[in-house]
Order: sequence, then structure tokens, then C-alpha cells
Amino acid sequence: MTTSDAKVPKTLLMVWLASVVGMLATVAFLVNYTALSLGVFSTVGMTLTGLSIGGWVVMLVADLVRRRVL
Amino acid sequence: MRHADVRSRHERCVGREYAMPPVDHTDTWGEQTIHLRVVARCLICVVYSVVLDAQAAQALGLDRHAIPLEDEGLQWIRNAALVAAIAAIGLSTWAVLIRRRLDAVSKWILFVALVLLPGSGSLGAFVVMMEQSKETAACGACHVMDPFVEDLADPESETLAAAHFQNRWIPTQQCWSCHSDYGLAGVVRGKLQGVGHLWHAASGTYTLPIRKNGPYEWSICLSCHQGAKKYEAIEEHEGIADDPMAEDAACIDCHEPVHPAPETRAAP
Repeated sequence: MTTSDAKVPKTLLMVWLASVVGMLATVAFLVNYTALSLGVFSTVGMTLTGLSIGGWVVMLVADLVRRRVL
Repeated sequence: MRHADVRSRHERCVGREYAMPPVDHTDTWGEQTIHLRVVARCLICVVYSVVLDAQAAQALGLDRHAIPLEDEGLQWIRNAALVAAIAAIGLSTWAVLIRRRLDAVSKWILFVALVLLPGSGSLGAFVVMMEQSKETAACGACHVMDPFVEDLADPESETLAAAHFQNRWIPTQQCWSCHSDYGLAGVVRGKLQGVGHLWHAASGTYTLPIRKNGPYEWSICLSCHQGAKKYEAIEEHEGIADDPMAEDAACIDCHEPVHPAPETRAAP
């Protein structure tokens, strides 16, 4: 089994996708400050970034609970 | 202990070839997968809709021209946030799609890529957004506000707003200065109203001519004018400051027109 064959959890992929979309909205806003990019960043970007950070923290805590660390 | 070290020690002890069992990189987080082509298609859609926004902006009635960022401190924050955001995209993509491990080191990498970098990038962008949205150019980013913004610089205009703008009685952030209450609550309320205005402009859920929602709080006028020699010399101003929230009178009842008359505000 090689590294490329390793499976990535669906939850992690969702967290990553939300983070990337949120960061793309952030980059678009910072590069080109327009009304549309501001609107997209303040709604979609910040929401998805918050969800991805929260999702990662939940995954981490759930993993620690499963390992009986917490 | 590393996988190779275990294998080497075992081979020395047993003296024969030993096939190590495959390493489960999924750790304890499950084994569900999602097809990467779906992810790639989603990314293409996002890049198309977010980055290539010129046509979308035109369709929504928003000005696609960038609002200049002149403050040097904000420029530094913008650049730092930009680096953090790009690094977050690159590092998280590498860790999730290329490295594809979930060992202890990977979890630290993902913590940086999915929490620290996006958090700092978003925070920096949030600060830039909060400050830049106070600029008059930001208010004029919606075409429906064109009559108001154009009136500010019109040398023929006799409105109160144009007088304040052209005489530099308010040197910067003229719209924000007169349309936001002072203090933290006023800032938060002003920003939330701004998001609401943006939504109404983008969704087309507004009525023409544009009017201010609710009465104008004349305490905003008094925050600059009260105590000024010219203001105090006028007899009608006496006692106004004692009841600044009175509803039966306001500064703009006497000092008008404030903005272009509703019937002269052209439709976008």
C-alpha cells in the first residue's frame, strides 16, 4: 500500500473544501476590493472559513475522546 | 519508532524476509472517501464565480472597479492576510490531496493549514473590510447610490452633503461620518446595515427613490457642531442639545436639502 492509496476521511475532505473555498473568497477580496468580492467574502468566505475551523476542532476533539485522551 | 526501523530490527532478529502489514494512514477517523474529480469540479466553479467576477458584478448592479487601499498600515495587513490565505490553500491542498496521511505530524500540519493560517487570513481580511467599507467609494460601489455620490463632487450642488464634502468640513469617510452613530454599538449597527444594503442592491430588493430607513439622529450633527462658536451664536440652537433625541424637530428640518431631491435621483 502506497501513500497515494491511503484514504482520506470524507469529513476531512469537506473541511478542506470549505477552507479552500473560504480562502479563495478571501484572496479574491484582498486582491480586488470590489462590492461583489466584499459581499462574497463577508458572507460565503467568512462562513465557510468559520465552519472549516470549527469542523477541524470538532474532528480533533472527537478523535481525542475516541482515544480516551479527554 | 519509524516503520523502517521496526522492519530492520525484525529482519535482524528473525533472519528472514518479513513483509510488514500495510500502514493504515486513515488512523481512527474512518475510511470514507470522496471522488477527487468532484472536488476538482467544485473548485473550478468556485474560481469561475469568485475570481472572475466582472460579469457577475455588472449583472448585479455593482461597481466592479476596485476601491483603492491607501492607508499604509492597512496595506501591510492586507499583504500579510493575502500570504496567509494563499499559504493556507497550498498547504492544506498538499496535506489532504498529496500527502494523504493522518499521523501525528499530519495533524499538526493540518492544524496550521486549516486553523491558524485561515484564521489569521480571515482576521486580516476582516480588519481591511471593516476599515475600507467606511470609505465613500465603498458606498458608491452600488450603482443605485450613484446620484448621492455624484452630487458630493458636483460644484453646482447646493446640498448639505456636498457642502460638507467639497469644503472638507469632513475630510475623509464622509458617508460613514454622518450615517453611523458613535461608539461601538453605532459601528456594529452601521456595519450590519451596510451588509443589508449590499444584499438589497445585489438581490434587487429595494425601492426607488432610495430613502433613509428611519429618522436621522441629529445627535450625529451635534457631535461636531455643538460647542462651535458659529453654532452657539444662533439663537434657534439654544437648548437643542438638552434633548437631542426629540422627535418633533431635527437639524435637517431647517438645513436642507441634505441630498438630491427624490424626484431628481435617476434610476440606475
